[in-house]
Amino acid sequence: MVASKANHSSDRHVISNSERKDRSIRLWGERGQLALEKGHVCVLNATVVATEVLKNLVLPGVGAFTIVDNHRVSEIVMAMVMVMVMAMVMVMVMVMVMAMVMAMVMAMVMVMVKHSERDLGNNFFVTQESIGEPRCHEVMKNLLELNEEVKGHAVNEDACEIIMSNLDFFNDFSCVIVLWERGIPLFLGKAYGMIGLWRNVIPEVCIVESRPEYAKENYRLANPFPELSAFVEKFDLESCRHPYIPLTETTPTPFAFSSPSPSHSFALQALQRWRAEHDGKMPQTGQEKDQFRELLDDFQLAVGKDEENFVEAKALARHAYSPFEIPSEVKAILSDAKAGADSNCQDPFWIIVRALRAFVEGEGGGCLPLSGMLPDMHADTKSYIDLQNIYREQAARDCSHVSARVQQILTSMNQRADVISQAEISLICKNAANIRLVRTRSLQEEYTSPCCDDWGWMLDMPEEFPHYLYVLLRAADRYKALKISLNLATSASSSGCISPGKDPKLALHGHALHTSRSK
Amino acid sequence: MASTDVEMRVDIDPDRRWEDLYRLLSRPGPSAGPNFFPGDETKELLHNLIRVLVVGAGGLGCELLKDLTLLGFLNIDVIDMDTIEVTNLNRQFLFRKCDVGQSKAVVAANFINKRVPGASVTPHFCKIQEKDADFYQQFQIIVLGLDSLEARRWMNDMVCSLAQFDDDGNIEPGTNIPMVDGGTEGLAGHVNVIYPFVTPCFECILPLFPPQVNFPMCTLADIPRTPAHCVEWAKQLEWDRVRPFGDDTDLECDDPKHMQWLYETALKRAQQFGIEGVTLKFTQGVAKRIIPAIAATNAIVAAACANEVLKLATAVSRHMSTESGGHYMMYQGGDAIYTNTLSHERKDDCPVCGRKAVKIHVHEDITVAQLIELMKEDSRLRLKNPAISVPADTTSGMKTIYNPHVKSIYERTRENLDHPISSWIRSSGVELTVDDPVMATQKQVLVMFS
Repeated sequence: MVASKANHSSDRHVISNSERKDRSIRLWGERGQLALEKGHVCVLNATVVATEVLKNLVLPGVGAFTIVDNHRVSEIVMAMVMVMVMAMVMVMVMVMVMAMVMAMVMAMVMVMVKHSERDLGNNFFVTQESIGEPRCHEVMKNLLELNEEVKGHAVNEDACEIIMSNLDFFNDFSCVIVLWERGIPLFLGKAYGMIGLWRNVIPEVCIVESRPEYAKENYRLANPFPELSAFVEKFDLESCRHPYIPLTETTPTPFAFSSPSPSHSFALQALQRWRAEHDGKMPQTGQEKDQFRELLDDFQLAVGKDEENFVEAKALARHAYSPFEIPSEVKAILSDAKAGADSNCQDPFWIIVRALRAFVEGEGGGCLPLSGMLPDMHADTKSYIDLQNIYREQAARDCSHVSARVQQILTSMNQRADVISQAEISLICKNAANIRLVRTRSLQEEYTSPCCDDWGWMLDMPEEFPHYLYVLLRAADRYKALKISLNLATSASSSGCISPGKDPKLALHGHALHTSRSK
Repeated sequence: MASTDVEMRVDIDPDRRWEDLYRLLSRPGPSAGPNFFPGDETKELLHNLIRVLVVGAGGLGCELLKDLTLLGFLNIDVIDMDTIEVTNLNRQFLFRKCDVGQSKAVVAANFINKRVPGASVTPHFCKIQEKDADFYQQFQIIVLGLDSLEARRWMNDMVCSLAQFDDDGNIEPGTNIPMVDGGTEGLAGHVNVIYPFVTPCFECILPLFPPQVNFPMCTLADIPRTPAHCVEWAKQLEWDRVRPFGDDTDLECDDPKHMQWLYETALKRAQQFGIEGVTLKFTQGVAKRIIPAIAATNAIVAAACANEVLKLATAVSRHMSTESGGHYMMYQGGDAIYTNTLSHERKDDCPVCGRKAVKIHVHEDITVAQLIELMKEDSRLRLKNPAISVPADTTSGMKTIYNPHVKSIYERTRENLDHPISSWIRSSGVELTVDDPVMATQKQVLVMFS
């Protein structure tokens, strides 16, 4: 496999030249950058689409790329480009890579093909002087100018021949299957005039740092841990005395909230009082929830000021009375077969997920480990920092439980304890609510799915069914496959081609590819 | 598609490179607009007649120049006041390390002119404010690749002010220059096609970009809790108190010495309060309000912009507009991909395309300073630093109430800040003339006493 040949990266890879990378690292973090720098991307056919993809990967510093392209064959495969990504590991960079690669569909406006003069009108990374030269070398040279840290390889050979025994991609899925079985993500892109298609073919990518815009956080207000309860009790809501502000002559009444207390203290104490008055039950009905918020209003009245922290406490109220639900995406990961107790998947991610699941079912009492993060809230410095430390310490305790579970699992699998580092476990614990799993259908499934056999009727109602574009693009593939096979048949250079007698119009009915698999 | 093999070394015909483009422009199609004329006229229009202005030669600008010239727009001007920095090189692909310190517009134009045969890109290394209406009037289409709200607002006002109306209030055809506005932030972005006085202008949709929320002063001064509070304290309060580089030296966030001072000062404060997380990189991010930026998002947004320019120029396909289902495309690439193209309404009381004075209600007793504060906070105006004047009582001229922009007038008028506005405005319903850095032209504000 070309993609694995030049896997040059080592674990001691360090980020250098950080100023250049500053704006990217601020987006995906240092670990994201490292993952990108360990990545090696292979493109088959240096079309505009592929070149744009590579440009957007070379600029932020992908480890290496390989272009497989030879002119003669690119005439045949034409607007199809395949991008394989070997970006190891389970960091969010995968998401990034996909996003970047996506750039091409739109970044490209025309169908690309045959002659270098036409490349010149489409492809910014070939020059007038390079007309007639091997395209892979020209594109590589001009891309490498963008970032001296990136390594490039150009393979002036037929992309199909390198990876397949059978020349005709559309007749044989062996390449795709090989990638699928090795877990290497494959991206397919094509563009025609004003439309294009991008397809991710991803057996499995596990994302730890998904960096959601709005992180779902569990503050355990509904089921506080002892240290949190103890902290909150220090705030006397009856007198609204702040525990850290001593009464002096300058603070004439105990009601003087010269310094704001964290909203957590109000929300939690209000909840405790509410439960004391309601047989230990949480506010459940809409009416009860309203009553609970009124209780917070009473506290605020006692303080006698429009305190910002009460506004925050009311916003927190929802967290207080509804126990934190594990996000559905995470639930799905925890209940995946690979996370089952009897799973023997050796991937560190899945071993940690198994430990996570055991934690949730055991010590966690239904909760994920805490992240240890506390958002800013209106409070005096000491209260806030103390509360932050309380959450951090609990997060560390949660994480050590998960670590212990990991060790148990490793022992049961007869693995050494150090095959999974503490850093890996901490990272997953910290991001437990935001881990993500991406799995797509395989191309084989897509192309052999019977559901598209009768999609032709959609073409009559394009407004209602935008999928018509999909049907048309599949038809275009089929048309090309037919043409290719016709050409090959006349030049007598291929076996296993499509019967030339078929009417290309049939392609409109969608099952172009699998009907042509006549083996 | 022809499938015969052509030997290309022999004759190089430079126009062959447009084959794919011409395929699109030579044939009628179902998505073409009514004004699309397939054939040579359209090609001529594209290559020779249309002049496009690209505003900004940064992340979007580099992409736009590449995309537009490859789409056959050979006459382009590009304007940018900035010079190239190392941090640009992760996405601004027309620049190399050796170009650091040079004009973005100049280097970008040279690169494109060299790479794309026949391209004629003219650079302008200056602020957009240094060019006047005559300059902007030369272009048939203007594309914005900017990163600041203020520059967008100024360009929007400038371009809207170019539109001319006949006696019936109808736009003189061709005087409202279409603008395509692109923007990116991390993995997200937008494309907005503005047809002045037809679609909402940028000012109409300003509420989509709410003003930055600042930390309360008391938090910074007394009860910091986060590393950002410490940095903002050093920047907003401590700098002015200490003036570490002399009384006359203002904070310059691009000066590494100043940044180092900010970092050390913020770090000391953080340690004093037991706050973790102040690093130099973090300090830079907060103090300069750095927005993450990558090539891929710029490529997507710029490509969408460039295609809109092609559609606007040739009508080869319908461009984004209210009629086509939306003039504003939002792109969210953070969690998988989500895009949506939608329409907003034009605002009747838009200070730019509403064509009438913005009415504000104030109490008779307020001072000039308070009125100015109201104009800054008013969600329709969101002015930055307005100068205000009233029609003079006796002559047909204007009398300046306050002007912070010209030093001599500022010296003369700053004492007016504390005077009641009623010293100049005797009755309700007087129109003030307002000059502000976010606007290219003067605006009228109708002051109503309540």
